[in-house]
Amino acid sequence: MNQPPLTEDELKQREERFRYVDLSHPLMQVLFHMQLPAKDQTEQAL
Amino acid sequence: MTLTAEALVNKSLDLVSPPNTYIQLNKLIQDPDSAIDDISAVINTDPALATRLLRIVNSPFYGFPSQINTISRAITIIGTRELTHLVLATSVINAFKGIPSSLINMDEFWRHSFATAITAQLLAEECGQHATERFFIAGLLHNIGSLVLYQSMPELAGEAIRSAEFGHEVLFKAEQRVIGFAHTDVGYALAHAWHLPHSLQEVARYHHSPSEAEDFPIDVAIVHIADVLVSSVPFGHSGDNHVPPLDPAAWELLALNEVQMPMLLQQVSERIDLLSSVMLNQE
Repeated sequence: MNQPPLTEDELKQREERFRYVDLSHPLMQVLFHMQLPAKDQTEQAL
Repeated sequence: MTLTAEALVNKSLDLVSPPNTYIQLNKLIQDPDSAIDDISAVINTDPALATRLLRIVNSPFYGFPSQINTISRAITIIGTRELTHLVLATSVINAFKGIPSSLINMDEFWRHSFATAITAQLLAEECGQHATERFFIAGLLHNIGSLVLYQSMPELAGEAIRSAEFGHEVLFKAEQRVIGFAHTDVGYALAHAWHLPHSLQEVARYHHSPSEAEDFPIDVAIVHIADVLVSSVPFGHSGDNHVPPLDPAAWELLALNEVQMPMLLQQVSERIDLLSSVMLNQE
């Protein structure tokens, strides 16, 4: 699946959200880099 | 005297009545002599509940091709257990309607819970589990203890939320430090006091520490993973902006492939609005 790279702001938000997880785990690697359609990303509203 | 989770729940039972219709239905389900008419009769004693249930089963979330006009018909189509779970879900949503929006956005709280419910059921299907509707209700109610905290001790709960948001700890650890116990302890105490099934009690208690689960390790592991997946997107907001720490043993127990998870979450994103819409508009 071709996905645009995360912007710097998105990357910062994501790093904060994933602060307490071990990013070396294969599942967390996938979830950290995952991008779903924008309408389901409620993070902007929070 | 130090307040315990059990004491808090006992105090809260005056404010939050037990889901009596669900408790009656649960007894009937376990009675081999009970019939659909018996179950319909119990639900129909509460016309508001019956109306809410019919609205839910006729919603686009279920997408049945023809109108379902009676509780008996709903039972025939979606099954006794699933309808009973809907009774429990709607009862809990109604029971905790008084939580102040200044503390937490409840629509976002429920969105997180609904997404966890859908995700848990999809994960259970991926794992080859039977009777997967029980995972839906387990996901939906995993944070039931948070509701008691928000309703009964909003100031301390708010302090824990702010500590998790601006400090350096996940919410359940902030709750332990600020309040003395976490939403997991309260969730277990409430589920126990309400005589909910033991599997739901274990999920409420151990969804952040699934390796401690005693009798339902698969149920707890599935809801633990669902919570991690949902918080990663995120769908909604449970009070914590952070993804809870993953227990690798729970992931290994389920023997799933991580590469499949984005596709599974895509399915959740296609269903979550339909579920939130019908469950949160119950008037």
